[in-house]
Amino acid sequence: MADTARAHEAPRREDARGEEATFFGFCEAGEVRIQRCPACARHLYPPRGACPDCGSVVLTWVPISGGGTLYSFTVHHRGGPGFRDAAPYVIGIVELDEGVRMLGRVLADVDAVHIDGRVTVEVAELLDGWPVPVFVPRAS
Amino acid sequence: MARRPIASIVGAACSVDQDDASLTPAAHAAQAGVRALAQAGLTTRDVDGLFSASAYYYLPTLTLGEHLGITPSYSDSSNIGGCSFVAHLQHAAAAIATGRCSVALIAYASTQGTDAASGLRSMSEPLVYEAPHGPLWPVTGFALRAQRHFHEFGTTSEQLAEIAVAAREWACLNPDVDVDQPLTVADVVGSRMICAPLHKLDCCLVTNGAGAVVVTAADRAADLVDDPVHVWGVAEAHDARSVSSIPDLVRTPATRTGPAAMRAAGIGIADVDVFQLYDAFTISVLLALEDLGVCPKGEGGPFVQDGILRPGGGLAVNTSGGGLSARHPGMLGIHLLLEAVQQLRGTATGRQVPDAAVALVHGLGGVQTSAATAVLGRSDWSPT
Repeated sequence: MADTARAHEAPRREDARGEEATFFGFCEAGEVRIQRCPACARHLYPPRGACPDCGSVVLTWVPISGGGTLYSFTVHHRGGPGFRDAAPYVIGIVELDEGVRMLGRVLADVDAVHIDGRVTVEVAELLDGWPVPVFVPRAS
Repeated sequence: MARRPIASIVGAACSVDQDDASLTPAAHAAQAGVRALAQAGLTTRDVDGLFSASAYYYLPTLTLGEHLGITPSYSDSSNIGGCSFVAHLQHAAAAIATGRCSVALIAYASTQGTDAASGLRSMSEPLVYEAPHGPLWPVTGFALRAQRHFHEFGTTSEQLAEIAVAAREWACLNPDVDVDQPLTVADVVGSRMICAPLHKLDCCLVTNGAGAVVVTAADRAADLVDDPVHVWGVAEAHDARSVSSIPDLVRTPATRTGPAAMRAAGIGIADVDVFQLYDAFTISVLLALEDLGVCPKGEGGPFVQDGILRPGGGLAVNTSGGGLSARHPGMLGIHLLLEAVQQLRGTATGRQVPDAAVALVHGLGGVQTSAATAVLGRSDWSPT
């Protein structure tokens, strides 16, 4: 296979550093914030040290509206590291209304998950002590 | 002015027994290296450019150099994933053209088939934005690509399955592969679901593997061997590391590397006799066929469904059996080159494509977020 990241180890919260830790710090406060470049009025995700568009190194952390659209998803019938016994579960990519995409768990029955469906971003702990953004489909 | 090859391959070999569990990856790579050099009447003393990438060794060219007694004046362990060795072809050609080295050895080995039971090796940093959601890398990323392709174009699991079926038919013809049972579409879609819509048989094998390629200037190559394989064009590109940052799940950097490599070589897609397309997953091949322009975007499913990829089906793709059915040692790029060289030398026993003169090798890395494409030609072929 093309790549194997920590193929057999459960992920650890303490591996998040710098702007990664800042992002999860907001999650721990129950909030999802992403970066925004004031110079070009563009949202950024994943977090960075400089705006990839204009090069500005002054970036702010802003709340998100909490709405998004499911771009794609996959039902895991085999669990990844740290989630061996949790399958089946759904991982999706959501395009936030801010225009950036985020990968995360979709908390719903498989039948309720549809590409291009609307979702709400919430915060949940999938691993103990590590709150992360998750996606909940809205009733259609 | 007539085009000239940018470099030539004068040796291409695997280790003595790629499945030998008594050797480390470095020892396997060293064996492949000396065997590839011997094809050109060269020894390790002649090598002044060393190229490698690895999930096993932090400083892979230092480790390989030590194993082989090579103290190079040019060293390149750049790693853009499984296609790195195809990209190294371009790096080696540039280094040779500018006098940095004269004989380049590109080598890779992995014993991940042996290691699978104890956990696959990786030097990846923790992917902290993705890992806490439970992805099964790299399957998750390719499944997300496949699901989006299904959504946009109506592609089906049965169409993807045909890619695995064709690979198995080629593998059955390959005497170097220990397999003789064909697959059916029903076998593939009936195999265990891993990350929907990808089943177990949509995924590549996990095996050992070791290969090496020797590159030198085209004019020198003619003095070394009767059957050099000329390198006419190479291109590389990447567009994301994170799955969430992929600009378009149904398109890959092959849309850039394919045209660039073919333009450098002075060919069009219809001039290619044999394709080696990095098949980490069935969807990888489908995306490559579309992005390289073998068929239009979105039409990969109907294009493959009637068996065009099977031996004699009309399009010679992954003639060894590929990563799906022959061998996939973590990074597949060097083996794509080995099979292309065999086809162009006319030594592909059991699965030789008649009169193969032009090969297109296309590799991927990450979740098909990097790409390297090379156009290779038989010794007597040149662009018109």
